[in-house]
Amino acid sequence: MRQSATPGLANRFLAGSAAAVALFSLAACAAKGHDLSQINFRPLSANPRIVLMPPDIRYYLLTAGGHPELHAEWTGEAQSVFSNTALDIARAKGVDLVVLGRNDISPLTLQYEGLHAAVGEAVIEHALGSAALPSRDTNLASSWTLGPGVRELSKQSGADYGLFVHYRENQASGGRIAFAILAAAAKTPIPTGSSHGFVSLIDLETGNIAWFGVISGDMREVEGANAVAGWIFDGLPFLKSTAGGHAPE
Amino acid sequence: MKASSWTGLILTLCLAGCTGGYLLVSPGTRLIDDLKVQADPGWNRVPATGIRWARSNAQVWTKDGMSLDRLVIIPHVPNGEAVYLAHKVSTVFPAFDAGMSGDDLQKLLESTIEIASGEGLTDISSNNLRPQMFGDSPGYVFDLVAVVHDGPNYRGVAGVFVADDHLYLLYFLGAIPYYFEQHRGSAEAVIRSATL
Repeated sequence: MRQSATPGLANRFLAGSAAAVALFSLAACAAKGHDLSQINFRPLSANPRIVLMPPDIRYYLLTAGGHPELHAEWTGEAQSVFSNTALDIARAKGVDLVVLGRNDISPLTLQYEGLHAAVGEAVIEHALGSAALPSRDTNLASSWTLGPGVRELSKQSGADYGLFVHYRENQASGGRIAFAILAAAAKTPIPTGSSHGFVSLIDLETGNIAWFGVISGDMREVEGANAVAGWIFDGLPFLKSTAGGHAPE
Repeated sequence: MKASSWTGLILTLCLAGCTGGYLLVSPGTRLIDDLKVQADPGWNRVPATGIRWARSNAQVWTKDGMSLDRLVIIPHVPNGEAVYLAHKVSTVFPAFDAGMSGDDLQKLLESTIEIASGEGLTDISSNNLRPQMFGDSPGYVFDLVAVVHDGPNYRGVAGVFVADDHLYLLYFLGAIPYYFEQHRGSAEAVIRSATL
């Protein structure tokens, strides 16, 4: 994680700095495995069918004033490269993966994409960070859920699990870099970029998170997408060769 | 900022994160400034550092984390003041007026949340305004819908009343699908229990 600033606009709506603080403190305090499956993961079958939801990956360009503007080309590129790479790796590993294209996305899928972003932020802040919620046992995977309504996604895809990917990256525009240089001369550092992301394996029967990981890497490039997707499939509970943790930079 | 200052900032943030700061809200009668509410089990009080715009006497509670649900309780807003506090000169929240109608109070909350969320990032609408007694004080409850530019959408419910020229406002927002319905009953019970 490179910066504490988050481009997730949901966070702005949430009007709180707590998530940003938690992300910052997570990096500073406790970079650790994120395998929520260790407690109560229940494999549905030896080789379950997984549907890769349209990757919720977005790239933003920071204007000189620091306002993030969606970069459609980079965003489309990254979504496409990641989906293709994930499919290649899944095939190589014998994983029964179906890919839901962004063109096939339904209003329901969009709703769950947004909900996954919010649930992931909560996991990072309250389960992986140390801002625990006293009223609940945040270590239990079943504590974190998209709700049983996800069964509809299972009906649509025939899958046992949904793989949700959320990633946001801010990159500095030329104007922002120039501004940063000027600001640095005045000994006032300003952010020139940030990234954060996470991936969840969702049990499409219950909606519960079966496995969760924090991801980082340039998804626009095959090499970056390959590293992230490879790490994800290595970490999946039923294919396990390594425990969950941070993806390689 | 010097390197040492950045180190201090990081340590401060880490400390804030590492110590958490969420407190369990004990069930039963809770007093928030001069406002009483009945809390059921399962609410956590958000630390003050997690509430950017809140007045010092306001509280925010959540069951599953602020990205998923939040109950905002804002007591005793004086006539002529805004519901939220602006920390930047460029941010101007609308002011409460003790003569506001129910419709006006709906619009006051809508625009306050939209401004706090960042202009153009969230569209808030409210509907189904209906009368509600808060103890001896007449007021209103109404429903909320928040469409967020990049994130889940939210549904909610708000309760509002004016007493002695002061505004009392409570609103709940829960992410959809699932979280709004999951906590709606509990949140509405807190809102409807509000009394002086």
